[in-house]
Amino acid sequence: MNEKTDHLEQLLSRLPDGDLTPAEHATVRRALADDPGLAAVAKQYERLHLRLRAYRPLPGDVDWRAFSTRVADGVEDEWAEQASSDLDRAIDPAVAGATAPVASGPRLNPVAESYRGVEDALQDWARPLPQVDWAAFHARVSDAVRAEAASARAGQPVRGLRRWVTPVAAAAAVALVVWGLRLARPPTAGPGGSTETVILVALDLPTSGGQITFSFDETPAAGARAVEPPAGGAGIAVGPRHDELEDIDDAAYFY
Amino acid sequence: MGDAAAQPHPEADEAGRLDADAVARTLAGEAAAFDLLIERYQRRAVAVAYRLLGNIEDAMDVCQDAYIRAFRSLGTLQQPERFGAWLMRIVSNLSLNHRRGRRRTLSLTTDDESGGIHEDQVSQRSQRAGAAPGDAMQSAEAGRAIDAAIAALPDPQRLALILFAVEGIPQREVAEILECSIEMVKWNVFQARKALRTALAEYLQE
Repeated sequence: MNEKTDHLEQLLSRLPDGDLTPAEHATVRRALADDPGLAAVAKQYERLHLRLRAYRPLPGDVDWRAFSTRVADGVEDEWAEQASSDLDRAIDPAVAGATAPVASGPRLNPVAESYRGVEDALQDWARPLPQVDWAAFHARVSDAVRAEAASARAGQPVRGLRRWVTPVAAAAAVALVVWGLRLARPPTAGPGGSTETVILVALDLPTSGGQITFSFDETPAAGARAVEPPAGGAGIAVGPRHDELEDIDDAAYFY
Repeated sequence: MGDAAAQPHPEADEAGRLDADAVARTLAGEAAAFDLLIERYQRRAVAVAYRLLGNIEDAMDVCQDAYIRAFRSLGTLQQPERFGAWLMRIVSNLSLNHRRGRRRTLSLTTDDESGGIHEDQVSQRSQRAGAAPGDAMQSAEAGRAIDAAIAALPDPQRLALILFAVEGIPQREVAEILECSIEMVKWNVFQARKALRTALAEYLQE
């Protein structure tokens, strides 16, 4: 079959579709008039068209509601599955909004919110420390320590090592947190232009009710060494860098 | 004919806007929005998969998988107003993959290949085709002949034929689904029809 007859057969095959242009219709009419044998071909295509339209009819008993529920359940499972693997993206609202529905699905919301809380906390962590009147704070702590020490000397014996371990550990933890925060900003210049700083944590004696008061103080190293150890209290001092922490004179800061 | 894609299609445009809205809402976390997309396309998706696979359970499994894959990749969809075509492309690809896998792993009988055609289905076909009971094309043999002839077509021709000539999807949409030109759709449909006219000649006589 040459190109011309192939084109004509294509037009015949499309007759049942009803989408021939007027010009194509005219071509078909002329061809059928010239060659009556083409009518049989056109009839075959018409029958084929009807058979194909009847090809594999969908069963009439398909429960579409059940099917859509089944698919929706599958999608919901996928949603939950993705939630566990995509939470990192969920933390960043820009990424979450641009890439996937997993960031804020109904099942994910509580989890995503908790991660956003972590994100907020991390942002707080990176913020500069607020302005603190460290001298006043130290004075307040020292006064409290002295008062407690005086009270202890007046007849309230320290109840063994356990009374100290927890408060000292807590004070150490606070000191490390503050130390870490300090790393996020340049060290404060101390007297004489020194940028070496230490964090002094002063720990009050436990009250008779077991309440502990502790505090921390940022003091230039020279200043810290000048702090008079409060009688009966405890304190930890650390430097802003690890090596300083190791080189620290425990005798001067742990009293 | 050739400029069909450039012609305005108000209904298709409106459907596209609805799809884009549902996609955006799904991406924003509204689970119910994806349900709309499921309901909007489930019949067409299952119908196409069924006509490619011949088994309604397989078709439903494939379509469920297609929906989940679509959901999983929804954020990568560049043209959310084309969700329907995109979904049908996934359905078509998964159906062809499923069919290839089935051919590899199973020793199929003729009925298996044709999807397990039953006499009531043959009768149903004949009624839809307007044929009288007892005609040659009503027979299971004729049904199997059509199945075999369609199964023998190359994938692009079979897909184009199923989507356009069987399912009745407009050529413009078929072109979107198959990611080809409308002319290519027409050519594939014609080649498929020509092959079927030859293969089914005895069933297409008066």
